[in-house]
Amino acid sequence: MPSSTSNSDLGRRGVLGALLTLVAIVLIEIACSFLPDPTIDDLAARRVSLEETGPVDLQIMGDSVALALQADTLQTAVADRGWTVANQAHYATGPEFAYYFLKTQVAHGTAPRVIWYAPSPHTLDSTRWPLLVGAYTSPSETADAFVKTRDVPACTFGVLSRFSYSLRYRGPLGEAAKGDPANLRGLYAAAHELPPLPPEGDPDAHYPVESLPEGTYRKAFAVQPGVDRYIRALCRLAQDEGIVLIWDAMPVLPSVASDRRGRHFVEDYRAYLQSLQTEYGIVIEFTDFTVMDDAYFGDISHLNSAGVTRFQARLADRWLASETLESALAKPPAGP
Amino acid sequence: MLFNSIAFWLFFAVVGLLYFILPHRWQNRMLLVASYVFYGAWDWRFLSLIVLSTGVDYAASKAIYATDDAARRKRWITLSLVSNFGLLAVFKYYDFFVVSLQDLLSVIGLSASIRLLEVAVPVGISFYTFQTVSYTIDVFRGKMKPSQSIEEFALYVAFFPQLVAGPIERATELLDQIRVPRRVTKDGVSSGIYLCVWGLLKKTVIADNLSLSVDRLFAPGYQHDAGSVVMAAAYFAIQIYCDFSGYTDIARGVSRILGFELRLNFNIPYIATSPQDFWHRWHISLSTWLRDYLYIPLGGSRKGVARTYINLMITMVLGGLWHGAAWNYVLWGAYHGALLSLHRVIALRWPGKTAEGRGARLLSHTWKALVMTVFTLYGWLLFRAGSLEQVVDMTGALSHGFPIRRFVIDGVRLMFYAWPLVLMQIAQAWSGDLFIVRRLPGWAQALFYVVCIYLIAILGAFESNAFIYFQF
Repeated sequence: MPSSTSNSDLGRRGVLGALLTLVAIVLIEIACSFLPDPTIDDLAARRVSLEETGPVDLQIMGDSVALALQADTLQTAVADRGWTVANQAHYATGPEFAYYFLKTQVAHGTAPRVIWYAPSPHTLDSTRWPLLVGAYTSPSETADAFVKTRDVPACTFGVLSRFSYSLRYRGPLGEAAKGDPANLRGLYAAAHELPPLPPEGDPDAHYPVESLPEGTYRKAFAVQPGVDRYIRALCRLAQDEGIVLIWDAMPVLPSVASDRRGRHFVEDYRAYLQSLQTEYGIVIEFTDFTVMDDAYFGDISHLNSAGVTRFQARLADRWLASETLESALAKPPAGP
Repeated sequence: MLFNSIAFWLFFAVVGLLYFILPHRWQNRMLLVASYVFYGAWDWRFLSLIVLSTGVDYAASKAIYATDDAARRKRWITLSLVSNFGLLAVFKYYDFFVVSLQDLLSVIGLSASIRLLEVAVPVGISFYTFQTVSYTIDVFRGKMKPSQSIEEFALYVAFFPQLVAGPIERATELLDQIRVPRRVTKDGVSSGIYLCVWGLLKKTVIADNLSLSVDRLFAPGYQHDAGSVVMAAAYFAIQIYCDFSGYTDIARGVSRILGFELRLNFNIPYIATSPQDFWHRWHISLSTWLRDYLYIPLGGSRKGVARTYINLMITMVLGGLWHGAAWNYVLWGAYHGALLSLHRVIALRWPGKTAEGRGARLLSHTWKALVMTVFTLYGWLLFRAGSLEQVVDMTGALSHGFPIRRFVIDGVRLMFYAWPLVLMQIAQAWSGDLFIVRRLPGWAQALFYVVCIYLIAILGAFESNAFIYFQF
């Protein structure tokens, strides 16, 4: 169809269209910034809390699996020794979050004397850079993240998502657009809180190997290079600050343990930890995965309340019997 | 480095920045280095093939141009063709032919143990091979002079926007643009941005989201009925079109921003009214290549009726084989060859009357397009099927039941993603203008872009799903 519109006119319209697009996107994102932002709120709140709480003797760190441990209960169990316990595990995170968290604690003088660190092994073989840069790091840490991750595209996306609500929540928004708003609703309900643990062990619960998702489970031990750099930075920081870093693991299902044994997983994991021990003097408590029956799990990764109760009792006993803790916490804390 | 990755857009930002501050000669050098970096990001070892192909054709074309001795000229063109198609044969077709030969021998009770190469097909080898071959043939035919600059020629072969999935450019068009300083205009940049945004939407929102359903519908063992077979073909028709034309749009958009104009590769193919019309609208750079460098040299329609049909079949079968080393591609090519031949017979024997009046013409066009769509969809079934057994199974299922409810549900799911494409193609077909959006007032363009950008941001599938045509 012939048209009398000249190329320069088209160019002008195109430029006007592009400018109006930019303005519209900025306005939409500003409007969205008034919406509740659970991820940012939660992660920011955790960092702010560092300024308000004093240092503890023993700090639990890890991801959502370790987050289930109740610091109060554990502190009561070791009350004879007078140790203070806190749980600073982060939901859906990995060693990179632990590193920046500890770094902030060190900066605020709230670093613990001992860290009991029990990350889920799959978090070592996966990356979360957009979440890290998009919702957690300060500007100077963001620059450091570009260097440590060496993943410019993922970090760039993270930076963009920091300014864009729709990029930050594109997953739940996309699912909602496809007719499944459950995640979006859940996000607003209480994204930063884990669903309540099932109160009792379910005797009928069964998680066979086939039910384990590939990619997270059912694979050999591996550490992503970027995550490895963060783990080493975490170990180095602890070493420099005189913090005892005890590396352990949370319990796993029988199916997870048997699958991992068949893949030389435990040996490779231990060999990796040995290398960290040699270089940074961390303490390895991990010898093999603690196996607990299916009935003690709420899903393939997380303990239910019966499982938490049972594991906490064991853990408290181990802590009380630990010479490492005894010697590390017998000394008075270093002065400010 | 996929067009739908942040890595590519960061790469392009750096390239664009350098491009706008460098003089013409250095622009070309920088683009050549960037193109090799772009290609090397997939597998740097395969860069050697592009360099080899570039060197051979640069030397061959100069040697051909330098002599009037017909025998020498033939030797050089033969060297070029053998080396280019030799690489293609080794890397893309060797294993296929060996396995096919072994299968054939086993049928007659013989066996042969021939070692397979089992190497990955270099990304985009079919595209750049056809591009370099067309250049040398054009020089041989005296249609153009050879390039005097190895840098310019190397950039023609490796120009990153169209290196891995076309459009297959002709030297007479792209090389000329490389030689002279480009003009970057407001119109070029704004139309380039439009093509990039629209291409990204087609790829990430439509094609990649449909790919899961396509994989499910074409999974071995899927219990098909007539409705699900139709839906499988329809899903794939939309997926492959959005995947390939999305890539092409981004390639053309990126090029326009840099001041280059690449060929149109798709022109609303699903409104085609005949097989011939379809190939004037689908993968135009390949169909015109096949016409100019295969069909016409074979004799085209100049050597009698029988030879015309034979030439058509040869061209389309080889065109099918170009897409991949598998029998279903050969079958797909043969199917389209047969469609073209059949349509030619019918058109010659019963030439139709042109409908009078706009309404009648529209009705006639719509009816023909619907009929052609049925044939096209069956062609996609041949193309996508994992095996000949699956083709037979799905074809047989066409005689099974047609559960309306499931068909409607699948149709609604298809339209959930495909509606932007359908609306756009209707607007483009109605106006006869592929750039209809750019004729809208500024505020309406902004509305279009905002919708596209938020669809891409929220529904776009990233970090997976390499473009389907890369494998070709």
